[in-house]
Amino acid sequence: MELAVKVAAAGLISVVCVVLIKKHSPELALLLGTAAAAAICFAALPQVRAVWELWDSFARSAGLSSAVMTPVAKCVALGLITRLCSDLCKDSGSSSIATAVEIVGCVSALLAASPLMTMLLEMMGGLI
Amino acid sequence: MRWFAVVLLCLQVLSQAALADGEMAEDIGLPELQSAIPDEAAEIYGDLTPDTDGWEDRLDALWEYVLSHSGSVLKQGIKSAVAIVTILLLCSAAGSISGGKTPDFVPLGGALGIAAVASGDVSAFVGLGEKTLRTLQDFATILLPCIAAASAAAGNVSAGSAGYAATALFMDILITLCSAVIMPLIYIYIAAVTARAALGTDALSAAVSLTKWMCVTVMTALVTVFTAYLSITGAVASGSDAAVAKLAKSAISAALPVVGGIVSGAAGTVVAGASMLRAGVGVFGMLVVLAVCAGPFLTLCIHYLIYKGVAALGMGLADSRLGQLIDGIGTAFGMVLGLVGCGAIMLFFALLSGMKAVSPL
Repeated sequence: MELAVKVAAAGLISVVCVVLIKKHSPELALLLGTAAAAAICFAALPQVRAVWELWDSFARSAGLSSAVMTPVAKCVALGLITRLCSDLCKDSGSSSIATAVEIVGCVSALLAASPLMTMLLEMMGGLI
Repeated sequence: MRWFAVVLLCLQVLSQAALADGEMAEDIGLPELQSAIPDEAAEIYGDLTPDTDGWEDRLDALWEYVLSHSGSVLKQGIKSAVAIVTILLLCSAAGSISGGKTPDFVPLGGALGIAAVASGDVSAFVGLGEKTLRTLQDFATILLPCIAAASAAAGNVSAGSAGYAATALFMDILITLCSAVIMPLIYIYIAAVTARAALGTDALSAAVSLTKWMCVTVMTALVTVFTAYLSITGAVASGSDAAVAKLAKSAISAALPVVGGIVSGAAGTVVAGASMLRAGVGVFGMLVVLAVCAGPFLTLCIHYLIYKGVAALGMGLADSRLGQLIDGIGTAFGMVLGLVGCGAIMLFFALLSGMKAVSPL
């Protein structure tokens, strides 16, 4: 609760600053916006870790092995990071960079999910 | 002297009729049948004998087995369901965080994770289905000659052998189709369902529908053709058996004016004994088939229902692609269930057909 209020306040102040600076120096505004987003994400790290530990214990009690859980979690994390970066790029008017970020995110997710693909292909090959 | 010979002949015929039951049991192979009981049936019934007595108690024992095993199977199914729901929740949380605009590779990771979790169940249950069919076929190779021999002893020579030949042939076809066509089709179906969910494209929907249709059609066609073949050959053969028996009875009565009636009466007693044996073998066979299929049916049914339930949950909770994937895996379990059901139904029909053949004398 406390963190959410702090983050909301920081976000609001950052937006006001970005809007004020943008008229005079768009580059600085972009830098400020990116820094604000990074700071907000960094502030939420302990909460994210707590949520992840809770999730991990839930998965372990469900009998879900880390070989399955880790690639899925990586895909989800990559999805969130890619979306955030892509939106930042689009806000600054660089849609080509946003597309590049999305492509790299997709490739990284495929790489992260490759152990699962290998596992499934091996299983199918063994069964057929 | 003449009357003495007639009395001797009658005594011999009657004593043969009385001894026939015991010898006939050996002749039709009951000891081999009893020793061929599959482990599943021995575990449920203990000492099972081929007779019609106490079949209600056997069914009670089967019901007890089903009840006692359903708990552990349910537990196993719920474990898989919880693992799948965990992945669904993770993907759903990602969707909620990003306002429902997650990149396409998040459901891809979820789909692969769900497929990996379900892969254990898939390989176990498909193997279970195949093993059950093989057990049924192995048992059928001993049971069917028995019931055919009992039918022949009861006067249904053609009907018994026709039923045996048809069932043996169709069971063989089913097993061959199972390993050469249906099982690969089920694997292709699962692969297509997984790929459709991972890639998020409807282009594979046609392949999914086609493989499912092919599986269902092959199984339905096989059972339909078998039933039709068994009904037609059974009706034709029973009619010819009845005609032959009637002719033989008339010939004996006409050839031996005094003793002919007694001989045909004694033959009737032998036929009645054989009919009882045939009914016993039939009931025995049905109980064994039920016992062999009970465990796989229970496991597959419970998992089928659990996967369908989780699929319904997944449709609303996360991306509908993931729900469709879980639903497809549940359908694959349904297909394996259908395959085992085909084998069981074919044996049941064969046994019923053998048992219901009308005694011609």
